[in-house]
Amino acid sequence: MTSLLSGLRPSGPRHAINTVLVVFGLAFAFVYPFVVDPAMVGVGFIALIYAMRNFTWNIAGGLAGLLSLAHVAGFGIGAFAVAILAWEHGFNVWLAILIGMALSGILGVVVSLIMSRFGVNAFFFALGTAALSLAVSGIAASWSVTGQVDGLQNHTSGEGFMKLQWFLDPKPLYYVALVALILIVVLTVWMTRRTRFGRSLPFIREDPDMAASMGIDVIRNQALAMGMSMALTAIPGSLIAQYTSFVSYESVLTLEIGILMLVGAIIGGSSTLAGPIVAGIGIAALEEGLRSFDVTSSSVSSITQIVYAAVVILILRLGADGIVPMWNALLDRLFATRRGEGERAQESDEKETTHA
Amino acid sequence: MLMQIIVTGLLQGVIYALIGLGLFLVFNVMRVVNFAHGYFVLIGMYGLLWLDPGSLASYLLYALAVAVAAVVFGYVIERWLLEFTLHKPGHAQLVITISLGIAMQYFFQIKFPEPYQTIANPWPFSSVQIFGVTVSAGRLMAAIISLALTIAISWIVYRTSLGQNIRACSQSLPGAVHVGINFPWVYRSTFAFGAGIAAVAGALLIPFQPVSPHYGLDLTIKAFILVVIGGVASIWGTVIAGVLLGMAESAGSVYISGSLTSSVIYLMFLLVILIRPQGLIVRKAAFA
Repeated sequence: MTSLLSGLRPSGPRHAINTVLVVFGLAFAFVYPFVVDPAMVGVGFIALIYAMRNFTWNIAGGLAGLLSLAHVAGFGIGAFAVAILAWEHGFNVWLAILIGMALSGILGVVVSLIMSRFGVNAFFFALGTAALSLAVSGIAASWSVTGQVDGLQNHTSGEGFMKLQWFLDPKPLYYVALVALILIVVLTVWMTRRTRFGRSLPFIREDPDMAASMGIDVIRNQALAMGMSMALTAIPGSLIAQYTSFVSYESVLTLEIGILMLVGAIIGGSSTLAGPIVAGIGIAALEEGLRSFDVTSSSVSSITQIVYAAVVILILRLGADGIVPMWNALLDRLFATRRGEGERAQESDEKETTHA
Repeated sequence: MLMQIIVTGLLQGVIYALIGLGLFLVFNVMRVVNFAHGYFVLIGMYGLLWLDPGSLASYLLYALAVAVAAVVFGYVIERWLLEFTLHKPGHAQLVITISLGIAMQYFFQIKFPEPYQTIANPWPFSSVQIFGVTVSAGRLMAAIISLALTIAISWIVYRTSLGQNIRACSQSLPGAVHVGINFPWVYRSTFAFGAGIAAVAGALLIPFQPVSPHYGLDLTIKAFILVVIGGVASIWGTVIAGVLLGMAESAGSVYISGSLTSSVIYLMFLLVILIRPQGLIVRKAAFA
């Protein structure tokens, strides 16, 4: 813990500003439900879910460089795990979440091992994992256990922490999501800094052959990263199922959701920890903003998706890395010119993975 | 029953082969899997839905028009969105083509909110009997034209100077540059050509295949499956894989219920990758 704190000690003006922003953002996230009206708490919850699933996608996608479209299968498995086990068969909901995570993680390991037969090829990985997601989605749409096209409805009664269900007040679930997100981030930071496995992932992403020659088991570590990433992606799926009390293959298992995770993490900056979270919250705010412009609800999601796609194309076309890296570069430029530092410091800063 | 599986599978498979060929050429030459390829097919489908031809002559004319439009669109996309990424590290092409596909999907969603539409049968007859199986005119003519186009494409690839340049770039880019091939031009024309083929396939599909915006992604994945199963050695691998996929689908639709068919096919595909990552139909030689 002390080492984590020492990592937070400002090492430059950019670091100081970002630390202040993170602390301020966290404080705001904790008081947010008490300063807005209840309807907006729901929006905050959705924003946290978007942030969480972008972030968990980024463990495989950004850290290990596996551009996966299988994560929506994990998201859907998380949602259907609580729907089938907790709602239909009376399991404890926390147990159901754990089972969903385990299943999703196993699926991640298996698909990663299958795709490793191609060697390392981002296109094949993306398309193969997309095929897996479509297969899982098709099964959910035609299997009676998953409610086919009608989906599953939550008819259980009783609320409280053990049931993870509150009927009128969205605040407790908001805080559960917030704590889950913070725990996932802390776990990831610890993993990437303190474990051999975590530190091998960026190495594998940058140069798999070199990593293999240094004695890193590339295929195993990629599979583990996929497994861990997909297991964690099941959590936002379970939470959103508990929030909406309704799960169908159309609401949690369409490939578009998987693409949104990928695109969201890249818009925010997949080389940073903060990027996917910023983009997730941003997209929720954008959706809410469009809704207040009196756009019909079916067009809202269509328009946000188009905006999303256009922004990501623009960012890539301009050769940028995403919102957070652009922000960091901006801060560096502002302070570097004031203190007369050269371009070199800025470049070396950009290369390290920033933990803003 | 068996005859029905074979006939419908064969007819559907030839169209899949045509769609797969566009992706195959682009992948072979540029080493880019164009995620938006299935959406280029939707350009053809929605284009004709929007123009709504009343007669056979107007149907053929509009099909040609959407093909030209898709060629121009493909050229612009390649020139402005893909070319700058090609020789850089990272996977910008992947993310750009996915995003392009998603943008097109939701554009169609807004523009054509009514799902599962088709156009009226433009052909002068409605259906025929082949070996005791009733086949609709749209399906039969689509397959015949697809087959003709496939043969025409193979002629272009193997017999013309454009095809020679395409194969040269695919075999060795440094070699192609060395002998003075203008490779950016080959890239652009291949990509535009692929987009045009896809739009023609869409125009052939729309008389009998109801269209929805989600269909694009399905077609992209199916075209990709063809390229993987067929192997990168020859365009005939892709064609044979297309026929196999069509057969598998029509057999699947007889024995298992609707949406599960695709699931079974995708899972079988993952199994194929596990067992034979180099493809089922493979020849050792490079694309030549």
